[in-house]
Amino acid sequence: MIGWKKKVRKRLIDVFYILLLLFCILAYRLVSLQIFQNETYKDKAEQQHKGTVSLPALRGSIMDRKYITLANSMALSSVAADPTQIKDRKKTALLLSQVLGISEELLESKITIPTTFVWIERKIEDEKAKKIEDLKLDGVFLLKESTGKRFYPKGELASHILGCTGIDDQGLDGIEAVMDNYLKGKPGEMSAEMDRDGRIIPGGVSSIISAIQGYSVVLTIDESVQYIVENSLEKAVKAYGADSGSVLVMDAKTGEILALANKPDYKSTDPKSPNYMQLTRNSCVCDSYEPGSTFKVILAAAALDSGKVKLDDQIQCGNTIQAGGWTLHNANDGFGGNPTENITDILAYSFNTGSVAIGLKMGSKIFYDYIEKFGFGQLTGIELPGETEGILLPLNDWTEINLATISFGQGIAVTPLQIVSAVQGAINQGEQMKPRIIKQILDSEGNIVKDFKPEVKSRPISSETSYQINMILRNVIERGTGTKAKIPGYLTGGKSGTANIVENGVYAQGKYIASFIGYVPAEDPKFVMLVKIKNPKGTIWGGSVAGPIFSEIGREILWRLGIPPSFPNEINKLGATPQKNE
Amino acid sequence: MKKNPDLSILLLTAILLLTGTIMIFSASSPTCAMLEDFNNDQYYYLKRHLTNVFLGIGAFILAYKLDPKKLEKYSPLCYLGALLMLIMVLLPGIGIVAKGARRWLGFGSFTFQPAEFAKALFVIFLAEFLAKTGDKIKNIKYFLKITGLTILLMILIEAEPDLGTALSIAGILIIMLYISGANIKYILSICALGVIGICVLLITGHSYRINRMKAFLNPWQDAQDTGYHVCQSLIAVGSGGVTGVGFGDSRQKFFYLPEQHTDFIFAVISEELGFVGSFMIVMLFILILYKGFKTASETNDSFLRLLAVGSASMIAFQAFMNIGVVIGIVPCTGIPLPFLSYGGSSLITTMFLMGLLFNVSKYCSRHGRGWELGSDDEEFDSGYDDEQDDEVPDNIQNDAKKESKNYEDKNNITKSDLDEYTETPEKT
Repeated sequence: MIGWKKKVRKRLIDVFYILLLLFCILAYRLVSLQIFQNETYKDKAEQQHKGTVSLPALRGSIMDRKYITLANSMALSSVAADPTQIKDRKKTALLLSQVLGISEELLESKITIPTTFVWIERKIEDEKAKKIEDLKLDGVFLLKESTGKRFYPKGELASHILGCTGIDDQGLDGIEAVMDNYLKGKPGEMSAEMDRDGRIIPGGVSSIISAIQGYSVVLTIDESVQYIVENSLEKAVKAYGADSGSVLVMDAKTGEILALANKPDYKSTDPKSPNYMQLTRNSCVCDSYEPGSTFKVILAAAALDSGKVKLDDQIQCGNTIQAGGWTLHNANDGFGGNPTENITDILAYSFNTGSVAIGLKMGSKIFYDYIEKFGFGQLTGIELPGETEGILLPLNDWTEINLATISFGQGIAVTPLQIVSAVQGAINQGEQMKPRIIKQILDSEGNIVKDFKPEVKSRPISSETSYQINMILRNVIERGTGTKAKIPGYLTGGKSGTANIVENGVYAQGKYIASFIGYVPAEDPKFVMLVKIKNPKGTIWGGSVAGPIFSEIGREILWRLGIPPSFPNEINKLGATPQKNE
Repeated sequence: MKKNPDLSILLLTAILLLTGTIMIFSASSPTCAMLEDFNNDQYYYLKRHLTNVFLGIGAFILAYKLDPKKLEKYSPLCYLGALLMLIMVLLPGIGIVAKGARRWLGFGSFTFQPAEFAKALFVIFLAEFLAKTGDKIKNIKYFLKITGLTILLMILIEAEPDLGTALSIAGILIIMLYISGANIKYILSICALGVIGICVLLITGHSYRINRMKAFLNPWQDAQDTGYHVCQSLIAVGSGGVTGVGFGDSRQKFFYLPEQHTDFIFAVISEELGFVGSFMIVMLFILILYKGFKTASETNDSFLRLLAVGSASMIAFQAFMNIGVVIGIVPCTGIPLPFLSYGGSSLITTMFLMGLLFNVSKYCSRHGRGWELGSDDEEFDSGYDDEQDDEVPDNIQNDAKKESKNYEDKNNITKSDLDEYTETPEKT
């Protein structure tokens, strides 16, 4: 039927137009989405694709006062891979393992990770990088990472000062931690488009802001002095079978720390070594101890400066003294005290009884004020982490027995840095300088960004008293407990100390800290040095244990620093070590 | 009167096949390279797609070579075959389950989706049935018969579940019924029933469908979860702009878009090639539709006409549904984009349907007379009255006796018509 055909034609056309209309709706919607709403969706797309990757900055160096590098970072190569480009995984893993010394299985598992980018080994040595480059492996490439491993060219030297950094180059301890803000620099940033799981889309990098290199820190430390100190200290600690030892050397005029060492120390580059927490403690600033007789320097300074005691006053001494209901004795070191002695002899022979008498004469208030003026019980503000203020009983809690024991340095805890700083003040015409370990901050081109000048912290005593103290302390070396600390050819001053060790709140039986604090040359002091040996075996006396170490280290430092001797003749005669009767 | 086929159909097929191959590679290669599941092989899907392309070309040639008469003769087998496969796929132990649906048959690495093949088989069966029934389709009995047979297929497909394919089949049924002259009231009635059916499915069926519906209505409300697919797709399409972000430079294909090489490949195309590319794809499907209907209008044989319309509509309908989902104007249903979505069964079916269309184009009478508006030829215009058509079903409904008489009349006419047309090819 022909009519039927026409009907079909009409309905065909109907259907076609309806379907065409549907497609027109699609086209309309596409125009709306892609042309009119393009900006909106572009923003949405950008929002979800855009991400940033941090580009680490090259960490600044740490140098000694003569700009000798103690710690630095280098740009190093890292090995990365695009697993999708690797054709022969087994072979690639084998070749890489031969160069890197990583197990084949681990490498193979790394290059099977489904991504276009994976780190194989970060921050490798240049030789290894060269070898890998020569292998020309498909899908394996080297990236110069702007930050490298931290290098300590002098090995473990000054490890307690320098501290260490973590794998991400952040300072963890020591100067590395305290000066981290200067050292770390400003990381750059790479803007990139990322996939849904945060991986960079190939070709998706849009902008790179370069990293700014960190500043360098110049220390007041003298690398050669530090070396002498560490070397001698290590030997001494071994020789005396001691638990540990510390030495602190400070410039007598400026308060700059020239050397600071604790032994045993730790590998500054390996935070995984055993006893890490204990070994990393910088005892010179982090641990306090009872200073013992070295504290008599403070006692004498206070007594003379306050006028309560004159140089030629005869003071009650003897071998015992009563205080607060207790009977106090002299140390059993072979020196016997006369019933009365002057202050010079009390210090020279380190009589506890005489010291107690001085203390009692002066009274708590005056003594406490001087102790505070010398900075005990307070932080020195040194630029090292974990400093402690020690233990100083508040004045209100002082009873007579406290006054008596503190007079000979027990019942008070100080840090090596505090006592060195106090003695520095006592012998530097009464000018106590702020202890410092940072000298300068330099930018990457070597320009000075910040210069730290010597700073007078306080004037605890007059210059006259200072002179008197200097004279008294020379006597300690010449004829008292410190004869073994004498440095031939140089006029030396100092004070020995032997103190009980407090363990768990009580004095440990038979355990002592032998220490000696001194300065040289006494007529014009260049440096103050504390030698502290914990729990030496055999001899325990500060003068006999720490004294010789002081002498040995002091002599070498003087030679190294080129300080002319006070008595050149004495050195010329030096075929043998000077023999002195004791 | 066998003639040369319409080469523009071949050209369309080739363009779409090539576009699909390129875009499947672009959409899938970076993520395949990143994932171990694909052996980090960026050519993973390209290789498999090329295999599908060869199979597809085979299907195209087969469909082109088939003798329409034989096809007509064996069409009931098409229906039975589809039915059998769809039942088999539902049997535990035979049908293969993946991504929570039991849609695949096969063994080892060789699997196929019976529901996809069912689309092509259904088109053949439906064309033959409607051609044979002719004007009798106005009779509710025939109308219900074919509707019932279709719904049986749809239920089996939906049981997998695969609502998208079921809807495609429903769409084709309605288009073909309308063209065959079925009563509009009946068609509207089953449409209404379909809407009710979908609502019932939404309420009682899988809960993800309600979520999909919510996500369709306001995708940004839950852009991280239920609305995720649509939002990511809209971002891809919208950020493409007029000229796109550049071929191969899609950002959304990096794990943002789900199924970026299958159901959402249009989003990648739109992002990379912009409106220029997406509109071109839409135009290509419009052209297929146009070619299908033009071919249908130029053939005198009912079966061939319906075959052409069915094939073209099946492809175009799926394209509309798929693109509609991608650009957020159709709720999320898993319908592949013919030619462009990765998938063997879909590509083979699409190529087979194009082959059928190409085949039918051989039998067209192209005498400068298209089927366009106003081109009606005088010789077909006599003795036919539109209103007469509408009377027939009324008669059927009103008077059973009248019905049977009418049918006999119509039957005779149709039969002679059919004989005339079917003999034509043999005469040439």
